Amino acid sequence: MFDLNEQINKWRGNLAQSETLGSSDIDELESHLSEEIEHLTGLKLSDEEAFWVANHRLGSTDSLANEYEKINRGVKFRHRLFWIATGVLGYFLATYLADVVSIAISVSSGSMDYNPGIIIIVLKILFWSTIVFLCYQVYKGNLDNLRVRQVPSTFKSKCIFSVVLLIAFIMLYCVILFIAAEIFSSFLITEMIIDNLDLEGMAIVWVCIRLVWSIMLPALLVMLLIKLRRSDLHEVGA
Amino acid sequence: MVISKDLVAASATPLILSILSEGESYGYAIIKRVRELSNGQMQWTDGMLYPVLHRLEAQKLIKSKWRESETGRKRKYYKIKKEGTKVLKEQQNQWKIVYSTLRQLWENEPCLT
Repeated sequence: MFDLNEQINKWRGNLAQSETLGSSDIDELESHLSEEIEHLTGLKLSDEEAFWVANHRLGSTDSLANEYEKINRGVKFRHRLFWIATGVLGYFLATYLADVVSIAISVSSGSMDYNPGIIIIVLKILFWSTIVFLCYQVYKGNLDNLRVRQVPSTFKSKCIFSVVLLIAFIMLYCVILFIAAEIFSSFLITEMIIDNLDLEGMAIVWVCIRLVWSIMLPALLVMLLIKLRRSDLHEVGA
Repeated sequence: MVISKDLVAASATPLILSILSEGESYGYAIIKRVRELSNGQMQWTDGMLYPVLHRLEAQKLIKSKWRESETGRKRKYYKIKKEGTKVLKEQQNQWKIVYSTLRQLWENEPCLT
């Protein structure tokens, strides 16, 4: 049985794979395709016939990709940069989560002597196996029809999305900072490695470095992601 | 008779600008209008229109906006800009010169009549 929506989704997936068409370009072509199909079914063609005729009239995926490549030179690069930035951001998030979970476990176990290292390693292995699994699925072509653009699609939802992400980062960071600083200072004081005065100076430098690395970098990445997606998005006016 | 590809490509810009100078429109309607005006003799591969529209937009001759039609379908509407009207005037003059040159030659050619 011919499923029109499934065929259109497949067709979208093929266009998206060419990497030279932005999602706004594909939306525009899909709107054209649907209109043509509607016109043809009005002429008593079946869904399947209408789809193939409209598809033929619109042009093959390859020729469309070639034409768009001439005008969308930056799109391919932005596509790749987007996935790289997403990967780095994902890594940050996973590391933070791993830290928080391991610290929470060590605190709830009632002993600061508990070594959270093993949990971090286990969580990181889990994270990397997920990445390898996803890569394998992409390689097999199982995720071709995944439409990532559905996450933030309007200006308002983009803002909410980025604010929530940032708050999540800052909260996670604060938890790590607070507990780690406790462990760090109590360790230094009990071991009498350095006196309290030096410790204060060191702590400030350490906090500053962590601040730049742990909040500013993810924040910059989030902004980069939003900027990269903006070129692909469109807003429907009234 | 089907018009050659080169001629179709060369006439795309003045055609699109002329249609948009009548009022805003969207891809599907532009192609339909060209087909009607030429009695189906000017055949575009539909998808090729959009890169041309995007190029004209990048050149700031036209602008676009996504809107929902009365039927609820999302469409990207294109509208001509001031600069586009100026370019259209220039192109009209150029095409008139080409047309009148060819006409003079063909009118004097006895074997064609």
